[in-house]
Amino acid sequence: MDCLDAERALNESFDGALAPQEARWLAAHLGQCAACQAREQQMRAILGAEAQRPLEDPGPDFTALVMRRLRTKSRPAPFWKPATALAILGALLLGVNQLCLNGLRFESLLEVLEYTAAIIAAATGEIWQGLNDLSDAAGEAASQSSQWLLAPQASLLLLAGTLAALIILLAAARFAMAKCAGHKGE
Amino acid sequence: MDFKNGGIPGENVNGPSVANSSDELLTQAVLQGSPEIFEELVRRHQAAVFSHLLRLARNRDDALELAQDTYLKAFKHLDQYDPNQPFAAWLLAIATNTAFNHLNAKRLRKTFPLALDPCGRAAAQEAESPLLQASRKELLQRLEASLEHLSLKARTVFILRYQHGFTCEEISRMLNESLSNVKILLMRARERLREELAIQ
Repeated sequence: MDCLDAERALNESFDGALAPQEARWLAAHLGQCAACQAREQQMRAILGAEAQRPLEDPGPDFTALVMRRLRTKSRPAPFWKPATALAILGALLLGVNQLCLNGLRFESLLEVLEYTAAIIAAATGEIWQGLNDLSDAAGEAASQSSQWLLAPQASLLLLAGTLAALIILLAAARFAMAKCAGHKGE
Repeated sequence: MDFKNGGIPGENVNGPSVANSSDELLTQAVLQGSPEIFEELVRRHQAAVFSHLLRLARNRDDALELAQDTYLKAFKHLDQYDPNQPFAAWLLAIATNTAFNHLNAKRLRKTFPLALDPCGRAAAQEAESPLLQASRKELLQRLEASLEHLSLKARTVFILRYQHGFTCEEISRMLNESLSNVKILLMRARERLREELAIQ
């Protein structure tokens, strides 16, 4: 084995892939070649130091921090958000139905829808725009209050809306109660 | 997978059965509905993961953030873990990719000049190098400084092989590199480090 063979064998040795026969040849070469022996010793010193390098600790709170982040990520959205959204939707539907049935009069289904959209717009943040629309719709409806010409389809819609609103409110209440019970149990 | 159930009934995350279980068994337990068991896996490997990331990112805050991200990714993709492979290798592969992405984003990757030297060096000069007389601590410091001159990938391969003790085959799978490329990176890294440390 010459120095080039020894270098290749050394590399295989440091890769952890040196065959036993080659290991013997390498040992024999190192025994008689000072250059390769020095090279091998330097390399072993470096790799030995690296192997014994102590691991750094991330700190005592690291595990708890990771688990907290995992819990936060895997937790569903706060229960009150869907429950509140459902409750608002149900209340809006109920309110619209009540207004339609008791106070305001509409000429057509389109007017009912416009009125509902105005209320929803007001409730979802477009307050000024929504209030203006609401005011316009109410004023227009009031000016035509002598006519109660609600189409049969609109009546059915109002009835269905009332039922839907009640179901939604009930579902929101049950959802919130179930979540409250779940949180207490944790 | 979520934490609603809080683990197997009667199973204490810090109990002896969990502490004595292999990584592979713990991953199965997590996948079967005991996410709290993951805590033991975090605890077992956090030093290796953090050390690895610290050496790649060279910034403690970044390493801490990357280590947390590593565990979040590992938890999310735990169903993709192959129990026939060491869990530590899978975890460090995630850590490495996370660090690569982070460092790429920060454009900190460096080029790696080739410095392979044939075996024709003056023997006497090398034999008298102060390297062998250096204390281990000093050697480690110098080694760390020299490692910074390597490319990110070469540094990663070197650390995985010699600090963490993974085989070249494992590193090849972890980094999705060919085995021959891993060996070439390792050989270049060794030579470069030996040269730098010998002449300092």
